[in-house]
Amino acid sequence: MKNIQIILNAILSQDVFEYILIDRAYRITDFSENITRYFGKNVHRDDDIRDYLPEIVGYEDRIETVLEDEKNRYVLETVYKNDYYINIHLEHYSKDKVLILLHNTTEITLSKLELLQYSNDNQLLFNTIKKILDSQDNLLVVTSNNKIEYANKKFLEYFSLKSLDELKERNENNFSITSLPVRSFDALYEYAKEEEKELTIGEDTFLVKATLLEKTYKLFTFSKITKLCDMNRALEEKINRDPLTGLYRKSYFDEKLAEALEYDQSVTLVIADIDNFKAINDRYGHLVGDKVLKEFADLIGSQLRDNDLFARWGGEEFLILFNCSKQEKIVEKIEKIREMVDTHVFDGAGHLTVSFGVATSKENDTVYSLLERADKALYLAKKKGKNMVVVG
Amino acid sequence: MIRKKILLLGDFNVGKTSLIRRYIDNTFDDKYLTTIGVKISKKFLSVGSTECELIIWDVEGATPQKRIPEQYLVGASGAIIVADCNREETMVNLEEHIKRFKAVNPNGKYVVAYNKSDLLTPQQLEHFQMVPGGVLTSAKKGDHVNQLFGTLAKEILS
Repeated sequence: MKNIQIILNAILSQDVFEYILIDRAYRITDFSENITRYFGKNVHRDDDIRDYLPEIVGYEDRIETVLEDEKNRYVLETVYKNDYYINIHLEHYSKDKVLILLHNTTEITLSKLELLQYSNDNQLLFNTIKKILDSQDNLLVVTSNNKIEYANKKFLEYFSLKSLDELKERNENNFSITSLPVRSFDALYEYAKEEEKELTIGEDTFLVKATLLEKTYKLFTFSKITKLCDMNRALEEKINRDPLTGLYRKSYFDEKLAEALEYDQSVTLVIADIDNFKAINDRYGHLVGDKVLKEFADLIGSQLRDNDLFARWGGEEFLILFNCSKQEKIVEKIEKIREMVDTHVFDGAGHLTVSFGVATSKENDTVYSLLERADKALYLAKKKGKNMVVVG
Repeated sequence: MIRKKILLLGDFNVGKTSLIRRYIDNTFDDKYLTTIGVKISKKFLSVGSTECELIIWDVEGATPQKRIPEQYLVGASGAIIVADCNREETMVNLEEHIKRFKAVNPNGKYVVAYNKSDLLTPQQLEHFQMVPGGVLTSAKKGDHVNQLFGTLAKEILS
């Protein structure tokens, strides 16, 4: 008891600790005089400590153990009381009393608070920036020596990577795991540094843009445009196709023919015209006429290869472009098609025949000159009695 | 007089201090000031014929670097576990706070508060997914704050 009093006096003299003694009934039996600064009101003997230190509520079991054994002690750290931060120590004093030491830690706690506030503010800012980055298109940041520094959530998700660390672990040849179809990050940078460029990854199309960040980092932005490309392709198909037969339109055919001639490809052009088609419309009606055109297109189409271009010029006239200059073989094939039509029974119209004009490209040919020769050959086929193939 | 210790637990900056301030003083301050350590507030309330003093512990928010000291959790009869309904990660962490509270206080009751509901649109409010018994609160507007504390008090005293 005497020793404790000496210790108490020593620590009280430094204005760091205050004390309160309580009995088993939580009544205050003694206290140091400056204790009131933590409570903002005067303390009286026999008052219930819980009115001043509600922090004790819930600690009743622990107080019991402190009373029982002098080895037991508890500390409740960093409690804010009346503008002070204190640590509350529960110490064994005697079998009937507990010593409560209040340790003033205001100064150091305020320094910690300043740091914590700074850290939390930064954490919030970091979280916000991370969310912004993750909501963007696929982002990848690479250092000047081609090591991956950062990839956002979308990038990792796209390449089925669990974490950035997983990506960082790879060496410079990261492309093998990301499936990026480029040789190196330097090559990718050169490819996309000036403007957005298309890049195909698997079945997806991306627009990739490379930007230099502070001379040290390369930022790659990958914007997925697969859907847009698919929509464009679907729209293009719709524009280029004849709605009745599903064949290409003349405008598309001319475009492809012009391209072929421009690149000096040898091609053979065939014009097909159903003989006496007007009579079918007059006799059976336009609905049957349309059905015949569709059936005719399907019939011819079934005999062509994927790289042969088949189009409807208009009315009952059709165009075929063969990427081949071996005219004899093509004429042979067309002759077979003519015979097939001649023996075919068209739904609602019966027997039909067709005439063909064939022309193979020559040097300096244009779309017009080649079409003109094939058309003249067709004219001859019609003039000679129809249902035949004539080469122009 | 019955005294009951209750805790407010959750990630930092979810509005624990603001909820208490709204409940005790009916005030609100928009400025974010980090809480360090713990600050105790008291509130008298009656549940039926029972008068009770709630000893409300405003505990500093958990951060990725720092968990709440166990000494704060000891002896609590209940807890309000708070998340920010606009920050997904704070809602994901609810489970961890509940687990920790129940580990120290197996018989303790708790209510989950999804705070800052004033930032949600009416459509978002309508379709907001909560754990059973969760309460959408706004310390700023005072929405459901009394209900939140009242619900927990009833649970504790039942």
